[in-house]
Amino acid sequence: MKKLLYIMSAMAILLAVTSCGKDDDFTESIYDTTVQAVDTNAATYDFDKWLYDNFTKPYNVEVQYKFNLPASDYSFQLAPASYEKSQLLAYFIKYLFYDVYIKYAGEGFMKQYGPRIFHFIGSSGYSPNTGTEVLGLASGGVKITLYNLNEMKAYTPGVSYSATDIDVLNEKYFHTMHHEFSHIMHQTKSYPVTFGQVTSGSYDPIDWHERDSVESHRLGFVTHYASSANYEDFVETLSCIITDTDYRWMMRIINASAPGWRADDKNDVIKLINDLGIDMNKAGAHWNNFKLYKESEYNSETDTYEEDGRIVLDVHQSKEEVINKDYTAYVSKYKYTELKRFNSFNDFLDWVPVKGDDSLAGINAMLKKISIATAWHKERWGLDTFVLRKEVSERQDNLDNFLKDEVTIFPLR
Amino acid sequence: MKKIQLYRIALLAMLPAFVLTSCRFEDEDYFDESPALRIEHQGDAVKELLVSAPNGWVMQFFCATDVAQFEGFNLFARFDKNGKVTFAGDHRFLRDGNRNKYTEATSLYEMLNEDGMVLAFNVWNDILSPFSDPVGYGYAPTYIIKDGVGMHGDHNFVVMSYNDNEIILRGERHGAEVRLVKCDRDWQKYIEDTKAAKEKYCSSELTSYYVKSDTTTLYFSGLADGKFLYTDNLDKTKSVKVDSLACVFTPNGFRLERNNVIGDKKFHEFTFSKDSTCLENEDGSVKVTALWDQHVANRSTIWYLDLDSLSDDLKTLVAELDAALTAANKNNSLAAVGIGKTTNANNVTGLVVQWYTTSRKTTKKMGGITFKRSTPAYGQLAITCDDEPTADNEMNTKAAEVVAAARNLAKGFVGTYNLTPESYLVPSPVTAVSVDGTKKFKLASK
Repeated sequence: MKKLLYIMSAMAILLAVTSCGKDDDFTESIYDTTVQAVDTNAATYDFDKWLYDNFTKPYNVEVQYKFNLPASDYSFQLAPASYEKSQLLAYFIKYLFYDVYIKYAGEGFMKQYGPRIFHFIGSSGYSPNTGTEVLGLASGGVKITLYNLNEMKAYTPGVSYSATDIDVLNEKYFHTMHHEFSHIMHQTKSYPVTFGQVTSGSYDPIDWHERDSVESHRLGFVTHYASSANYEDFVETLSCIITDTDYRWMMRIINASAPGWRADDKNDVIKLINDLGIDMNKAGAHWNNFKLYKESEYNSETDTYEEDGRIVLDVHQSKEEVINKDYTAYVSKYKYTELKRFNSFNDFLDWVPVKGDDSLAGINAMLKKISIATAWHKERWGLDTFVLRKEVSERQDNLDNFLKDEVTIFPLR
Repeated sequence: MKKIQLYRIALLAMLPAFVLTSCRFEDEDYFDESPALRIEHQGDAVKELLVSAPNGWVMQFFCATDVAQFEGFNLFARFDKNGKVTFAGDHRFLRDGNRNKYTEATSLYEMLNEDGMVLAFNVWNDILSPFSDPVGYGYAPTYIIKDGVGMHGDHNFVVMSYNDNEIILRGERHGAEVRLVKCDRDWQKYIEDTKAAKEKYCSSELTSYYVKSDTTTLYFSGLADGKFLYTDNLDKTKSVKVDSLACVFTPNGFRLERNNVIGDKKFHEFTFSKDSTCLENEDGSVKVTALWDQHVANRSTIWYLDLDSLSDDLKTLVAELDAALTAANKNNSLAAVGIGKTTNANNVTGLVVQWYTTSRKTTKKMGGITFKRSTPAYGQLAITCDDEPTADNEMNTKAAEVVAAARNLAKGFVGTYNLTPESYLVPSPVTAVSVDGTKKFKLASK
């Protein structure tokens, strides 16, 4: 009887198991592996093929030039990017970004650390409440979103990019690119905590946009956005070295130095200018013929202007107006009194007072942070930031030839 | 013991049945395919439909603003199999000097399988994309100034429903309904036909409309600007129902951005009725006409009387006025009689008389006698007059007999009339017949 019970139990289990079984034939993949990477029938085939050959295949990068709404930032109202301008930016990214890093860090560098996705957006991420504008975004160490493509200078055969056009290109796209890529790099290999300690008390994540360049530089930041958080400061420092013009750097150095410097700062400033490849004595350059002013701010209670201790460059004077004491008229918020005229940058170097004041941040803090950031680039990545700057600058000088010889904007089929 | 064994055997025998039933799949599949595959295949079907239209599609496009800040826009789109789309339009937000000019632009479209089917226009298109660009619409297209807000237009649309001639879309981000209708003619012809149709129900002079069902009447204005701004009471201080909708013009009428209700009657699109006396909704239960009767009663610009159309008593009074004018001054004769407001220094509203001041009939003057007009009921005109109605300065310069004849004529019009206009939608000649059938006259703009 027991035997019978065992047999019946075994049959019951067998029946139970077989009743759930299915005769699936498993193939290697349920997906059709014969589909080509680029759709030969698509209207965008020519550009898609170019992207495949230049980005996807060598670096495993997807360039999303088609607006990806679910993957976009819903806090902004955004418009799609122009197809033609997306192509132009893709060429520029290759020439002014990928090829630069590859030249100094090797093919493997971009394959391993380069972003996996570029997402192009036509409009900027403009915030109506604060008036701030997001130009780029790096997420998760893999994706760079670039905004504002539709404002790019359009490509036409024989188009020429002037120095101003290149400045705009740097400001709106390549500064952002290097900024965002530096985020990806430090999200991969962390930077020294000492960087954030240099100006640790001055970061303002909320009201950073209310600081003007005079204020930001005086506090030891390369840009006002750098003063929002130490990781932004870090990538802004690197990005400014790589993409900012000589003019921007010299104005920044003057602003940051004017309040005074510490013992060795003068030599370090001269070294920085050399490292940046700037001709300090360049004839006709603004830094060899400029004025500094003392700033006074309007006091609406006393109806007088009072010195606020800021030293301001001629090109950084504010034209802001405020309502006067009696609410009868608008008056200038600031007044400026000439402090000194400089006929050469050397005059300025000799004029800047050396101070022992510990609260003095300015150029001293900036120099320290530049030193930490560039050392991190070199030690952790084998990259010389100043060499990258030189390479980018030379390529930008050659941009018209590049456009003529290398760029083809594909029409829709 | 044996009993226990038997129970055991019975239980064991039943075990496979329990296990088997637990594995059996009793539910019927409602669909043959998985949800993902169904979405994909429906996407293919929609794409095939989009591509299949030889004249492309009219896109009745709306922005999703809380109140109708913008009109609806007629855009046109032709879809190629390879993902290319050609848009056209002539709207006021076209840039690069193309404002209000017919313009075409090509870009891309894709069918995406997200939570549902999504028709995405995901690269910039000069016709469509200005509606989603975050720039200040108050300055555009002359100045393109970032404001981060834009016009609340979409470029990705969830497919809500479709049939052979119509695809209903909903903006994925802002949610306005956008409708694609298969275009039955050349695009520019569609634009011309739409403009021609609009002239039949939109004018700069008569800008308010009735929306009537059997039981309810609403009023709306703004149609010439593509808006349906409505209220339930002409006296807006008493109004309890006020709303504003955008509308888009069609070759047969106009369509609102979304369904609306009057009483229990729904309306979404209005087209000309068979006799063209009004615009009516889909099932004919809601009708739109202009406030043409109030226009007859309230218009200050002069309505001229067709003197041949007058009933005999009025004809006699007119002849007596003409005779009085000539008797007072042989060079004078009656030029025209109208209803409206005179243009003299102390102008009056009521009967307007024009007379020639020369025998060659080269110069004219105008005088008036006051009477009042009102609309006692829909389609009616009531004229009332004092026993000794006021005459304006110019009339008072005439002989007493002339003034008396003019007063008699004014008083002759007193009564309540049923009106029949040539058009119920735009200003047109109107025939007035008194409710007792004894008096008749016809008014025209010239």
